Amino acid sequence: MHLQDGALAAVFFVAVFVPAVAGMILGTFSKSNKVANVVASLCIVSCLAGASTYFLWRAGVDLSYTLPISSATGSYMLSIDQLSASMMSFSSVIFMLIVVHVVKSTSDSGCRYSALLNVLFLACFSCMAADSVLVLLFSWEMVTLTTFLLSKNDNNEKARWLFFVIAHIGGVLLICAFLYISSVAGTQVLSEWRDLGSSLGAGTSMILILMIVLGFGSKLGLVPFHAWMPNLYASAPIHTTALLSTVCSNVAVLILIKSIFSYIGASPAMTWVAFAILALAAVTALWGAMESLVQKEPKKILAYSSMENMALVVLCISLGMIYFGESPALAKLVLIAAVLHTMNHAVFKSLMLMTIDTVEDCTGEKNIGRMGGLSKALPVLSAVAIVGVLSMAAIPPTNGFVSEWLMIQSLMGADLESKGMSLLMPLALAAVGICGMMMAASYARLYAFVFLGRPRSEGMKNPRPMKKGTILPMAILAMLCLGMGFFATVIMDVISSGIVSVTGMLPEPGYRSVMSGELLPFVLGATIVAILALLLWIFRGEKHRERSTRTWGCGGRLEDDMQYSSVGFSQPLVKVFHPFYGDTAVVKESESKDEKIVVTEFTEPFVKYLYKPLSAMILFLSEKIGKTQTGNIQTYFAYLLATLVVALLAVRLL
Amino acid sequence: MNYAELAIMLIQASALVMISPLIAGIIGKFKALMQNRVGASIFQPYRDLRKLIKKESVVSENASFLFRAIPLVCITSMLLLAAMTPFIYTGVLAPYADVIAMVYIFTMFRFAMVLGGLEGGSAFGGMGSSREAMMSVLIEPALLLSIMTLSAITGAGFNITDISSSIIGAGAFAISPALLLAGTSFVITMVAENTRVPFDNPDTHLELTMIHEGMLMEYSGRGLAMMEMASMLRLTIFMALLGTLFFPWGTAVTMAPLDLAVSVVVIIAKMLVIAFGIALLESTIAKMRVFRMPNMLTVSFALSLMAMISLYVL
Repeated sequence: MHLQDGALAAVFFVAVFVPAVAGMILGTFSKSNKVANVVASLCIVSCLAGASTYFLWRAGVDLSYTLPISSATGSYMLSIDQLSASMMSFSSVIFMLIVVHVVKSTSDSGCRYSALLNVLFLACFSCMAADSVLVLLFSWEMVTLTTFLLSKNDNNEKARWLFFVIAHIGGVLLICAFLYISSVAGTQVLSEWRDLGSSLGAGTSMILILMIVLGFGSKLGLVPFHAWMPNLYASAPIHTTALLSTVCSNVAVLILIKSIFSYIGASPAMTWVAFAILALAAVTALWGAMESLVQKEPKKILAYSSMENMALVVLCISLGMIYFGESPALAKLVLIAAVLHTMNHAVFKSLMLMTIDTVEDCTGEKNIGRMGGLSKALPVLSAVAIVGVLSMAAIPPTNGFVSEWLMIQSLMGADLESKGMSLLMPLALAAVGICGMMMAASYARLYAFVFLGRPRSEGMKNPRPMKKGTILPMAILAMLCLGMGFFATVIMDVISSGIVSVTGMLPEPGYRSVMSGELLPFVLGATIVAILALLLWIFRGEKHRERSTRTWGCGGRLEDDMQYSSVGFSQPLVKVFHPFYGDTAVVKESESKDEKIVVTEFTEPFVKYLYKPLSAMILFLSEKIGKTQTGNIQTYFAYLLATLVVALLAVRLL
Repeated sequence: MNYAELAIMLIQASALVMISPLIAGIIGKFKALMQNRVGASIFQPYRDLRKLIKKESVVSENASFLFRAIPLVCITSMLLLAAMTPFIYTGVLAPYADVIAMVYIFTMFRFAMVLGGLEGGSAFGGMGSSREAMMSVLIEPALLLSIMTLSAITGAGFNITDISSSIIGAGAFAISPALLLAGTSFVITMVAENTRVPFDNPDTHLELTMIHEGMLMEYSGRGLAMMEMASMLRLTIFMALLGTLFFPWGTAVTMAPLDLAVSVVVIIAKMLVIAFGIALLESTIAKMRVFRMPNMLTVSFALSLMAMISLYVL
């Protein structure tokens, strides 16, 4: 069913936009910080309205609405299709939980921050709902700008600006690509773009797809655009990071899928670009996994984990392009894996970011090397965190397991005509396997060195109690981690219908027809619960004798630092994979004559060998160009004359 | 699925669980005989388990709730696998018996072990965990690839029953380079995953080279019993997988009593051969240095990758 400009559409969009706009205005012009909570609640109201897209999707309604404003380039339109509806309702829920956490955790967040949250929600929502090129590009730019503003914190100007620059490199690519497609399509209404690949030509389509992937990749953290992630994650306010990593990524993945499979339309002629993207995604995933192992700040571990997860999603999308022509059912399966993994990532990543923020807030420590033993002091937090960690590490029966299962299934399902290309599938499988295990090691390290062991600093021994109510959004997210794992098959059916409607694939054969195994997360989960219950029941009777003592320390007394360190934990892996860590040099700093401090530092090779030389070159060039600007009017006349002569010659000769 | 079949499946899953200490005992006995010792009885592991269950546990005061949960999780994951491993009959009890789930349940076990090693904050546990993490990064992909190769050779999908029965059905034609490469990789994986010599020495404690025992340092009493049981079960499951997935001939595909009887004899012979092989390996080869291990594990990984690629090339 399709509803055009009806009363329902108007009511719906009013319900979504009006509270957020009101919040934005109130937050911007209010002077007192007391209204911050009111502003945030307005955002929550908008989120709730956004989450109601769920019912649109349930009813199978496509909604479209023309905004009551227009310009020379045409009117501005919004529309919600089935895939957008599922993504929107889901993202709104995540957005709402994060805003709830903002309200509960920060007593003085200020109403500017809350106002910007409203703007970000508006931007994300209209980006997902955009039906005109201008709305899409404008709201995507708004997403970038708002996150840039939201990430303001003490001493993070450099990290912010790096993000700003890299996000805009992506933005430029997107603007060029979309405006070019728009000129070829002859209309700027996105829903009228259908399989433009045939009129664009295979070569142009491949370039455009690459531009769009790289454009969104700058936000998702594809190599080499990931350079902004670790520092921004470490320095920006946690809620900004959470929104950037979850809701903004959801937006990017949604538009990416729609652009490739609906607007341009994948065809077998474009397989080469799909393989290029596959390779890029695999490299990004491995890079993220490897770098996450040596990070010293929990937030940076999560930054690289975001990068790895999003790379897996892009990998699925590229597989979807490869399969699209040959086996639609397999393409469906792999796109379901992509969307499901995006959603799962949003759940567990926002959960973990909130957890780590709580840890930092309660203890005042940022360095994982000085953490440890927190599960004694904050047992509830550690219970919530273990769910998130298990889910990130893809341990059954959590949601992470289901999407990894689907990914491996879709890699194995490949039955391609070209034998040479099929050879790449085992390599991709190996890459997914290795980075999955590396991330699992990294998450074990993250959890164990924050929550387990003995406290390594004073802040860890006596942490402040958690702020009231902050546990609520975290507990909901932890439940989602488990629930989305248990009931994954239901969600997959939902996503499947969305993908069918967006890509124009036939509903039959369904994605289940190509699955070579049965995915039964519910049965698996229920069995695990049953066995655990049985074991507990067996051991229920006799009172088990238990004695508590100090950890055995070879007869001596263990000091705080006499336990395995987080650096030591990953050292064997660093040693095995040492060529990839670049300059893992041991830096020796001697502050005084008697004392020498030895520090192991891992510098991101991309920053050192790509970005630093690049920025040095740009500075050098601008200095040279600067010398031509003398300020003397005669010189400028000379330039004008020279330009004129060159231009005339060029016109005459060409 | 009729009741007789269900009964057979139940019997084989419980048999797998019941005999796992015996297998450990037999390997110990083989080793003792090779070293000209009398050795302990093959039933010694049962006695050890009984003793451990009766003893009180000593828990570090730094240990959290996870410390008590981890033995349960470990044994649960191994029971999950026991329910999906064919032993005397190719059909298995578990409805979730697909190979990807299998690899991830092994990961679940490892993940719990690694966290368990870091509980309590002793240096030994941390060292064990750290090395286990290093090994798992190389082992698990090899395991995944070799098992996936098996699924691809047969074209039977991911269901363990289907894989094993279609290899049996193909007879000698199933012996292909891919199967042999994957099988070799699986053997290395089996030795590494179960932390046997040359990767680790299961008999030592308090040696700076240890991996698995290091992670168990802080456990005692019932917790240790569960962890030991889970480790023995893991070895048995790996041996059974080698015998029924990679070289499954002889395993009963039908419910005919004769087939089942043959299958029982064959699987006993297979298990004894594998146990003898492990004992021989442990008696003749010295333990490797820790940083030599990645070389061996990379060999396993490369073999499994080659197995996969050979499917497409040959």
